[in-house]
Amino acid sequence: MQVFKAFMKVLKKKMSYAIIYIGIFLGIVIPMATTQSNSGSVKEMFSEECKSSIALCIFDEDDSPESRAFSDYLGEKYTLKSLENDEEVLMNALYYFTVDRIITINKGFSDKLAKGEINGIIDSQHMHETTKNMLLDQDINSYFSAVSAYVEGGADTLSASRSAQDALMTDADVNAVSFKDDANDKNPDHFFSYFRILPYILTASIIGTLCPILMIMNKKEVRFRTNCSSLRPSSYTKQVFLGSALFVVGVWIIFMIAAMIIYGGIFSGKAWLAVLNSFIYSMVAASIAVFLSTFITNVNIISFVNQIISLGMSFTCGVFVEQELLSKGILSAARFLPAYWYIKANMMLDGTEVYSGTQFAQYLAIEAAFAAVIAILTLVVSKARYNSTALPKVRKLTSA
Amino acid sequence: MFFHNFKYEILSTSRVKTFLFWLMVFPMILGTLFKMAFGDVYEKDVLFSSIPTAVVETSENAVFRQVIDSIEEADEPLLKVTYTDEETAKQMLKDGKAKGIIYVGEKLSLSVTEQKISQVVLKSFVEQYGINEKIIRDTAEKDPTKLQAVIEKLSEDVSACNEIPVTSGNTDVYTQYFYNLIAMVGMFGSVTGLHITVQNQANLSALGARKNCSPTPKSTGLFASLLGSYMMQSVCMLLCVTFIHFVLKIDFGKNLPLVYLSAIIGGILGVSIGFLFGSLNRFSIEVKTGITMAVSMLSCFLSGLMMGQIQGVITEHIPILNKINPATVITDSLFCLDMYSDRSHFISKILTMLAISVFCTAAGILVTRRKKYASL
Repeated sequence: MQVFKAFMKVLKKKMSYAIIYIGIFLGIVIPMATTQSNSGSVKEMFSEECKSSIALCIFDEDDSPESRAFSDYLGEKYTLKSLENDEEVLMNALYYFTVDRIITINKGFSDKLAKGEINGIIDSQHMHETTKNMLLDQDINSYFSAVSAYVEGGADTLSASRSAQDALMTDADVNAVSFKDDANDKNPDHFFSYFRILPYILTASIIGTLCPILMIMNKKEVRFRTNCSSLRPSSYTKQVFLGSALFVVGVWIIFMIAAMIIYGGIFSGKAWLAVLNSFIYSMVAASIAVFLSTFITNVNIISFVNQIISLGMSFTCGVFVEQELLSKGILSAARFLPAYWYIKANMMLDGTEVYSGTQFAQYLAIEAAFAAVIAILTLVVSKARYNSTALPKVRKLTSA
Repeated sequence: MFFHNFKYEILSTSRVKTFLFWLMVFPMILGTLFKMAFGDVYEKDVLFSSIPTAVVETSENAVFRQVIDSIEEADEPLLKVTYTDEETAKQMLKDGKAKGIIYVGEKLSLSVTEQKISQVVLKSFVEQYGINEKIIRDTAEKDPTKLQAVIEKLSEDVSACNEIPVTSGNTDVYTQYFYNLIAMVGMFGSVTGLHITVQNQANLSALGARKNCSPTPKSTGLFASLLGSYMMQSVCMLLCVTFIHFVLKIDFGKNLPLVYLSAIIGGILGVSIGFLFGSLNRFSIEVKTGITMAVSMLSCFLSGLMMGQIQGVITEHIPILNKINPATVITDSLFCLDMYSDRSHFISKILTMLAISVFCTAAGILVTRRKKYASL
């Protein structure tokens, strides 16, 4: 097992690359997993969604009981954030979604409310025409419509504000319908997001580590020394294959164990299908790494090619941005890449697409076919390279 | 001798393949990938689009139909309604073709599969009926004579928000990834700056040893190297901005010359930082490169290259960090140029970049000067 031992020695030296990637990946997914998902009754979940996803900043210049009642109403439903009243801070906060809207309650607010002058009663700034801002618009208008109706009905502005607040807490009859099966429901939120990002890390860490090792093993001098030893070529191949397989499976197992730790224990239900999907993808990444190492001889070039393949596939196949948001042209081109089919399979598991066992198996088969085709290509290229270097030398020797 | 050194600095830098890739080719590839991935996301995912809704009428409700008709008259209506039977509506909900089903009978009810913002809008829409009903009931109990006036008040269109425009610039939040890409190229310039010290330090390179025992004054060689590096880095910055604007068609507003200026100063900033890091210690070239790259990448991370919203989080909690982090200052200069109508914010960012560059270069020169070697 001399070759296997040599492989492991080189692996030990090159392992830092994979460790950096694993560390960065876990650094990103752990905070993502600790984000609390909404739970409780339907009403509670709706109110949690509003509170967690919509943020406002209110500058109350009127500071009257009526303006405070309005602020309290918004504070009850949404998250209120206090920001420094500085142009640059507010611009950044709106641009980067720290707050969705900045509301200024000007002096004279309560007087205008008493007179029923509710159009344009508050100053509002928002940057993005989002659904959240649409909802805020609708809600704020409803509030002032209700207050002015109560004022019209004879109430004073403060009691009208309180009555409006009560009226706006009226709940609709809402039913939550579920089309998911129980096995899928058990998996926590973000579980399949973890598996969505996995192709990038698997590709980058496997190519970035395995390629330089195989390149060292394939170095002309090393290969010539090995070829002229008593070791049979098949034994050499088996030992390199064993070393590579051990590394790839090892990296994959680390990610699976990390998923178990992050998401609370042994997988259940469809999570196992995600595990299978990621295992097949690991094989694809390994086959790409072996293929590249057969014809690239410069470590710097491997580093560039690795970035292009891992980032390129991730951006175009839906790893970083969901496939639903990518253009049709990009998705059509992405069909020729293995990560596209990995993501398609994962979308079935996370409920984005309706699950079908046959279709899921087809996606896995396509991924496996990629691995097989790349493996065949590797054999062809390595054979051609061997013939182009070794045979002429043999001929020269025989002719001499 | 200055021009001789200057010429060879440019020639040697332009022949380093890694330099050409990471500062010229890689930003183009990454920019193209950003464009492919983020090109439509703002329109598709961030901006509001009508919420597809299935409506099942269990009994006739003319008022509801009137309300829906008036909503649908808008350019971008709140709801995109499909009247259908319950079975089809459920199938639409299952397939994701509808965000919710509104059942119209004596009362309105809603069925949803998830509790996201679109569903909150639907819930709020359905609740409006109950709210008006409660207000009318309350008035009827308190003072029935005012019932008509209250009903009229409720039917009035209200627009409570006096909208104050924030900017006339490009609000597409994904554009900031391209600003960050330019900042990244600038920060990668730190490796170029690092090589200036490596090539002038006798214990780190053969060229450094050769330069140290030559009769050329150290200052001449150093300034020639610095100027050559600034120039090469500026070429990279120009190429990056040109590619992003003219090939990828990213809108930088109406101030393209100032975008180029900002990018060039960003590049000089990166080189200066690398020059300082290289001069500060006597570590090996690998350790120096590692430290410089780690600092550059951390700076880029904090400016939002890997996670777009990080700058917003920093603005909220540690705003001072955004004012001094080099990559954020480069990004912000481009952001300010497009978003603010007056130039004061942009000028302050440019001055910050220049101040950091001058400080780093001066500190680097002070540390490098009069360095002696007992043996070469």
